Amino acid sequence: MSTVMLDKFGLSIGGEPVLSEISFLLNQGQRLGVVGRTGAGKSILARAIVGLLPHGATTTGSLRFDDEPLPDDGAALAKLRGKRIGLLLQEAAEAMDPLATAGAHIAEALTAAGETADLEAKTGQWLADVGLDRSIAGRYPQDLTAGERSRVMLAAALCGKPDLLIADEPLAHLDVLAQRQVIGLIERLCEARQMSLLLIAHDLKLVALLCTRVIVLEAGRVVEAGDKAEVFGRPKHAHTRLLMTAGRHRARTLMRTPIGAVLLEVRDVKRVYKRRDLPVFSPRSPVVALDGVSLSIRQGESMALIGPSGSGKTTLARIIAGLEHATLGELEIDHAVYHGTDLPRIQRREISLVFPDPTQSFNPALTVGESIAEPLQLESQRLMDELSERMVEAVTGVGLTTDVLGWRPDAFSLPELQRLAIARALITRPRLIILDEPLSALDVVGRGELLVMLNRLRADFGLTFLVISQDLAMVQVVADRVLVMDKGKIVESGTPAMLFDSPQHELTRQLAAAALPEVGIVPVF
Amino acid sequence: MTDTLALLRTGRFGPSRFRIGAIATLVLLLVGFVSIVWTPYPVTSLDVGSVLQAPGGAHWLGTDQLGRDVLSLIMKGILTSFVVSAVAVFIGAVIGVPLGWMAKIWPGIPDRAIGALGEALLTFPPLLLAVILAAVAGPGVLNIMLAIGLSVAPAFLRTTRDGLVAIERLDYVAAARLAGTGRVETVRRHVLPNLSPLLLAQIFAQLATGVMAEAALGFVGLGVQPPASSLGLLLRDAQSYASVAPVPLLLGGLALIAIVLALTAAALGLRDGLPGYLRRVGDEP
Repeated sequence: MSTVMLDKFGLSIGGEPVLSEISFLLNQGQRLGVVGRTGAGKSILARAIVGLLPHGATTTGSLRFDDEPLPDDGAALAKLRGKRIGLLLQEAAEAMDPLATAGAHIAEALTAAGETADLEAKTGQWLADVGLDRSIAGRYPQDLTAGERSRVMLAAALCGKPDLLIADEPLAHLDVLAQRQVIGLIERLCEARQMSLLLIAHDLKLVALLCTRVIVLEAGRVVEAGDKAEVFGRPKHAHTRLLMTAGRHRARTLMRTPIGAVLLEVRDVKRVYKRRDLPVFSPRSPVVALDGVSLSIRQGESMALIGPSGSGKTTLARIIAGLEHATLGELEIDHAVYHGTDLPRIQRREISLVFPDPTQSFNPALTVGESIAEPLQLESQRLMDELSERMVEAVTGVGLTTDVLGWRPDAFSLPELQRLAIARALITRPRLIILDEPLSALDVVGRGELLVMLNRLRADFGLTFLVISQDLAMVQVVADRVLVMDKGKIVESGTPAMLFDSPQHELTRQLAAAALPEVGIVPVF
Repeated sequence: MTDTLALLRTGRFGPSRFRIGAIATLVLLLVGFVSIVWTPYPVTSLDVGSVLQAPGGAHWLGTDQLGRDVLSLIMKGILTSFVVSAVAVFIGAVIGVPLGWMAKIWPGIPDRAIGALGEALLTFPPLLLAVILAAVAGPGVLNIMLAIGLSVAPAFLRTTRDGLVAIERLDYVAAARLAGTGRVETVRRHVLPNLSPLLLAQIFAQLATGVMAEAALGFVGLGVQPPASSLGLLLRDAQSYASVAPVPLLLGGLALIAIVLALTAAALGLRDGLPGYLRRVGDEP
């Protein structure tokens, strides 16, 4: 038996209210989803339930686990977390111990839950359950991808057979195929063990798939709560409706630039890496990231590149943008042939790249204005007046005002920062913009808004897009043509509708099947 | 440098720990500097008539077994601690930072070789290095500076190398390359301003290590030689007379603790302000 009961629970940190008047009851075997935008207080709620609060936090109301308040004593609380509650925090993947192998993390959780026999076999089984190779057990966190780390931590959270799993954005960093696997695993365990689930997500589709009840948080308050069918079927509060409509990308515009001649050609590009992370004397088989990729993008076109993690999408983007070098093959833009880093300076301003994580794409020591102006040094013959005009054009183009240019990156929210990253990409008036997972760091509402903006920019500036994405809903909205990549090769191409309605390649079929279903009643336009 | 100052002003480096540590360090440093021009009594003046006096009267903190004024000794000792440690950390940084930089720009065998050299140095505690140097060149302040310098160099090596690796992996460095920024300019504009708070934190942390090492070496008689004074020497003398006059031992120890705590607080405060991907850089493996 385990129940979580919150009654008029409130939390403030340093006098600032973060959560207020939160009440809900989660009985054994029930599955509750908490949805809301970034900063709504979802993650802090998860931490509060397990007693992991920052210094200076004060609570009001009551929070009871199994009809008892949380123990004050740290050891008892840790025992509760180890045995009864499985916890997967959002930053869990970053909080791994760098000195312990992936297997050791799971073995530790198993031991804490009192399972000491056959640790190795059980660890291997858990890794397989979350869709990882058993050999990962012997590897250290820094040698794993973010997606692998988060799945190791999910295994560690689940292996103690907890009565309650609290999962905060469990699908972050996972590609669509892995997402499906994790959803399936959580669902199976909930059914088999009568495990309760408290799922925190900004994506309503995920909550709709896994949970039976939903609460919607806005700025630390519950604005709507109830049965899934009730909340998503007949949303009463405006915020719920906002989250729902934002999740349904309908940003396609009728404004289009005509598609012109070929802008960029990629001819049989290969990229082979030497591995440097192995011990000195071990044999080094090279890693093939790109295995003969050819494609051409026409002026004004929007092309999407999809595929699982590690399929070579980002490597291709970095070669096109001139950050990495092709081992074999060549590229051509504007009759200039190049191989990656030798992209001529004159052509550099024709291509821009927008990175996935906006927090890492701005130097914290510079103002955003200085960062945005940096690419202007590629325009050597321009007059100062024109350059400042460009700044205004780029910043207003992404819907911000120029007075923010003197601020530093930490003054902005994630969506604003991603807009500024796009402003930097626009500043040289490029013809091709490569967008590498541009929505991955944003919540549903931020995603919807950015998509509308991208389509508008494309029409206004006559841009050509190469979009790298896992988000098939997004691809359907922004792309004219889609390329599917797997293991460094392009395995299928076509219009989004063609690919998703009648996929030919096995991977395309899996990707199309893995997309999460829409939420609620889809209105007919 | 101006970019670094701007970064320090963002407020991320504002909070308590760094400020408390930095202010305490400045106060102690001031006490040390005052001792250059003024101490209540000259530390070289022996007064056989008034040995092992209790605090109060003419000598505020009493006298030691040779009749020297304890307050003056502590003031001079604080200065010695800071000077020896600062020179040693400077030596360590001058050795470690360029080596770390080289390890970063020459990946593969040179990187591994430099890393192995650093680890080999780490296996020698400063005490052992100082004993070896003292055996070769005799005890003395220059030798312990060199010994402590060598023993803190690996920390600078690792911080520089790992910090550079962590920073150069970030997208803003890639963005600078896309923007046509040259290599040198990228380092000046993007890498150094973000590396320097990390190095500054390491400097404070290693200053604390240096102060401890200096006191330990002085205590065993390998460091500063009398008639010069250091906290280590003071403690060594005082512990022989601890049963008769416990005050010098207590106060000397407290002064040492104060310096180490102040420097450590400043180092940790600086580290708190670092972004997550740099916070654990340079930690002992």
